[in-house]
Amino acid sequence: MTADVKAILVAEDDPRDAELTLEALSEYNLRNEVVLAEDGAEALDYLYRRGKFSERREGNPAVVLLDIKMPKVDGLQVLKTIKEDPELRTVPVVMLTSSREERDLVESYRLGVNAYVVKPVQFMQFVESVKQLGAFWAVLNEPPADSRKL
Amino acid sequence: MSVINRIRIGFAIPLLIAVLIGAISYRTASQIPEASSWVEHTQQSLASVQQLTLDISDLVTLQRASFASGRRADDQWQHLSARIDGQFKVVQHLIADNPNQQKRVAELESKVAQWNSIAKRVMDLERSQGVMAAAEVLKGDEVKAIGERVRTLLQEINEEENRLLRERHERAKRSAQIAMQVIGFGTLAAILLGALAVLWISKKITSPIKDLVQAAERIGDGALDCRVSVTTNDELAVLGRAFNAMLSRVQGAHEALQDQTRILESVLNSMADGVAVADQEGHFLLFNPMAKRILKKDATDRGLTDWSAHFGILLPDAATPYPPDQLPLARALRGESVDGAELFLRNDEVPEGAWLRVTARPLIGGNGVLRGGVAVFNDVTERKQTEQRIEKLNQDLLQRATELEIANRELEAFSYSVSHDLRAPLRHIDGYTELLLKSAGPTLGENGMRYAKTIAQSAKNLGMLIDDLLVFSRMGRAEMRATILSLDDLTQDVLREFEPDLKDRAVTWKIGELPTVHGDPQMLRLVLVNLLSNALKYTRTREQAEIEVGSSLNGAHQAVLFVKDNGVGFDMQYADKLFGVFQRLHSSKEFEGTGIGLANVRRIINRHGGKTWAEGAVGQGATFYFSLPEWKEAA
Repeated sequence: MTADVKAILVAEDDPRDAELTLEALSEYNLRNEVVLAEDGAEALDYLYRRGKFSERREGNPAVVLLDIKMPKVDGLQVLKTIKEDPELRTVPVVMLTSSREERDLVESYRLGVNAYVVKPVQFMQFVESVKQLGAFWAVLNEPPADSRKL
Repeated sequence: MSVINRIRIGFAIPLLIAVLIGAISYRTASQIPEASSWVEHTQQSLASVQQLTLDISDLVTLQRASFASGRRADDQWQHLSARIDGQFKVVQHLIADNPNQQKRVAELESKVAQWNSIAKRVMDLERSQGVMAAAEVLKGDEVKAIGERVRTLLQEINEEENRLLRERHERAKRSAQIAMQVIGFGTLAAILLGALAVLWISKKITSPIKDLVQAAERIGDGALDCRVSVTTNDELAVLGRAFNAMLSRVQGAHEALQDQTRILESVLNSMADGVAVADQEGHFLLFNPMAKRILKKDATDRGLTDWSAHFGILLPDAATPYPPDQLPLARALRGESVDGAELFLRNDEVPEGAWLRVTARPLIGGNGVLRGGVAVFNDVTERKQTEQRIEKLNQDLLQRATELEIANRELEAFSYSVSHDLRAPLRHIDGYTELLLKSAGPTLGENGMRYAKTIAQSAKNLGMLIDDLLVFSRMGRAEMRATILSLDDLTQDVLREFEPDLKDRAVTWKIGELPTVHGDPQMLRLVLVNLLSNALKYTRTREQAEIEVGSSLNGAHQAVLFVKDNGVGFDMQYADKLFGVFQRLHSSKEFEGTGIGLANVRRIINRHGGKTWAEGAVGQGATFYFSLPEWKEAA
């Protein structure tokens, strides 16, 4: 059955944030595999099954959680790539970021982001947000039929 | 009297007189043939009388001859008697007009008859009694008397006819003379009157015409105020009056033109711009006083090619003499229009030089022919200098703006970093504290738990402070997106947001009618959120909180809003501190907060062109006011 459950891709360069995010996701007891990419480039490698992810099993993730500020390739660039690729376009992308700057928010929506969440300082709130996101995109939200083929 | 009537009368009078003279002449002349016929008649009468005399003499001669010869000649006698009778009838007829002559002829006829009867008797006596008896009779007195009487009568009749002839001849001659005289005098009179009429007409007609001609000549010489005197009441008077009316109009137009010219002249003289007009040959027709003052030179007569040298006109490089054929006025003379040409002037009167700005236009005559050109110019040296100063100031300003923009970008980058990087460690502090509490909570002990919670709380407080500061910074920098906005709707919206937090509170809301304003919805929303959350915060100690939101109009275009509460209030002596950054009148222990909310309110309202102020007293609530330009839809 695990093979049918899609992965959740988390792109986060800060290991502490990554740990907290994974912790938060684990709170919800999701069945999905959570994959961590340490920067934008790794996130793209996962999506295109390149580099260290060349051996991963086929299929797009259920949802991609992206930090904006990352080394090499930033979150907005990853978002742009996903939304410009016809095969990836239907994958839900959530910006999960510290930035409250409006220009980031505006740019994200312009590029077609599915949700934009500012990481609250308070961990419990953060856990709440991540749990809800995970539940919504990974479990409750059925992606369109064509994206399931892959 | 009209001219045509005058001419008619002038010719009618001599004509009438000529007709009269003709009539008289005709009548006089017609008497001449009558007088002549009378002369002829008298001549006939005389001839017939003389014939009668001859016949009677023949008869007497015949009788005497026959008597002397004794031979009877009765046939001849009878023949002669018959002739005499006939002749008598002729004479009687001819002298029928003269009774005296008739009497005489009648007597003569009777005497001739007596004579004949005597002669018959004598013949008979001779036959019967012989010659002697007959001679006796003949010698008798009776015969003598008859003979005598016949002779006398014939003589009288002849004389009378001769006298008549003379008289009538004389009369005929006189008639002819009178006719001649009448015709002569009449002709003379007609000629005289005709001449007089011509003189009169010419005087009456030509003298007003001469007046007109003289007036026209004087007007031609420029005397527009002279008028033709109108004394008659005829066509020439009409002409004269029309002429005068025309003159008045011409004079009026001329005076208006002169006025216009004077106005233009005084305009030109008082103009702050120099005006120069030149004809096609390059001669100046007009050079107003300001032109002289600007150029410090009078017009030149030496023609276009000398203009640049004469006035000292240079190209904008302030060194090269201006090519004379490229001068704005020279170009205008070729039919071109020149706008705002700049040239430099330097001559011995203007050694330091001056900048001139010139506009030139061709002058086109009424028939579309190029007549010359006009140049209007002014000294723009000061303006030029000012422009240069402004240019420099602008460059400085641009430099500063660029610097400011760089600073702003740095600030933005800074706040972006703050937003992103400063919050991350706080999140970690809080997150790991939570994880610590979760995994090691029971082993920490009471104090350990409190320390961990304090760490989490401090991180949370610092997070809020950073967030508020970022908002405050953004409110100062962010671009305003102003729209028409109903504060009624906005307030309701904000209140709905507060609802979940008010479950445990007893709040009486009093919301008045709020105006429609022109502003940034995001920013004004923040203002309302801050003011209302403050009001809620500082009435927390009240059992029954009362919060009022209302508005009033301040003057024509300003709306004033207020948020009034019955909370803890504040001391008015610190009223100014309320709106400062990090300024707090209460401790965090009493009322939590970062001290940025009201600073944000002031910053936003200031950016909208409004004002903020507050009233209050300790323990008696507070009222916060802000004003905004009200927006009213065009009716």
